[in-house]
Amino acid sequence: MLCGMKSKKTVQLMMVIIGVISLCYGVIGIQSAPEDAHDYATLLGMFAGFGSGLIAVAIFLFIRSKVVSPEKLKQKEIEENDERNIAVKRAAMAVSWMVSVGLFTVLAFALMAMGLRVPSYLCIGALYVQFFSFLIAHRVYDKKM
Amino acid sequence: MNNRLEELRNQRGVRQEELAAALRVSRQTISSLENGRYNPSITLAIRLARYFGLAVEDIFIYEEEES
Repeated sequence: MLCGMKSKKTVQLMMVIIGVISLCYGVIGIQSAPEDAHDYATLLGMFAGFGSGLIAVAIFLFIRSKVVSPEKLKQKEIEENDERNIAVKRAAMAVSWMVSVGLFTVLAFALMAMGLRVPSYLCIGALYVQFFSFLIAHRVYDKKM
Repeated sequence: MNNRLEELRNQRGVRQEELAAALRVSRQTISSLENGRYNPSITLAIRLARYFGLAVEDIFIYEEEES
């Protein structure tokens, strides 16, 4: 349990560090970006938003761990490690994986039909990444189990 | 797979929450096990058997499905 708490603190610390870097990059970048570079400014805004989001989630998790009673935290930990909850989560992830494969496939065709070659290739690329990550994960777990 | 979990729990006068806390699982897991919606892992089946002081096969009844 102590080890789990330590790893959670490490994750929160990493979230804050990545968040601060992303936020600083976004905020400083926007100030030095040319006036007419709208796409670049939007990208920097996304970095700033992503960074602030990460920091906010890390702060929320930290405050929750301090404010919520130890009994409730213990119950939360039980819920997180509960084998049925893990099975439910895995089944839901398998379904969402199937949905995303279908979505990327439809998107690739739709974008190509609209003449948007690059976004269509990106969708096809994402499908390949999914497929190969599945093959690698399958091979790893096949050896492990 | 059928089981006698609810029957055994009622015999001992244990609430679902208490059994869940003793086994460090959620109450929903106990409820799903009792309803036969979820089959436990070997580890949880053994922990349940130890909790009731019985063998696993005394709690869980496996019936071969007809194909």
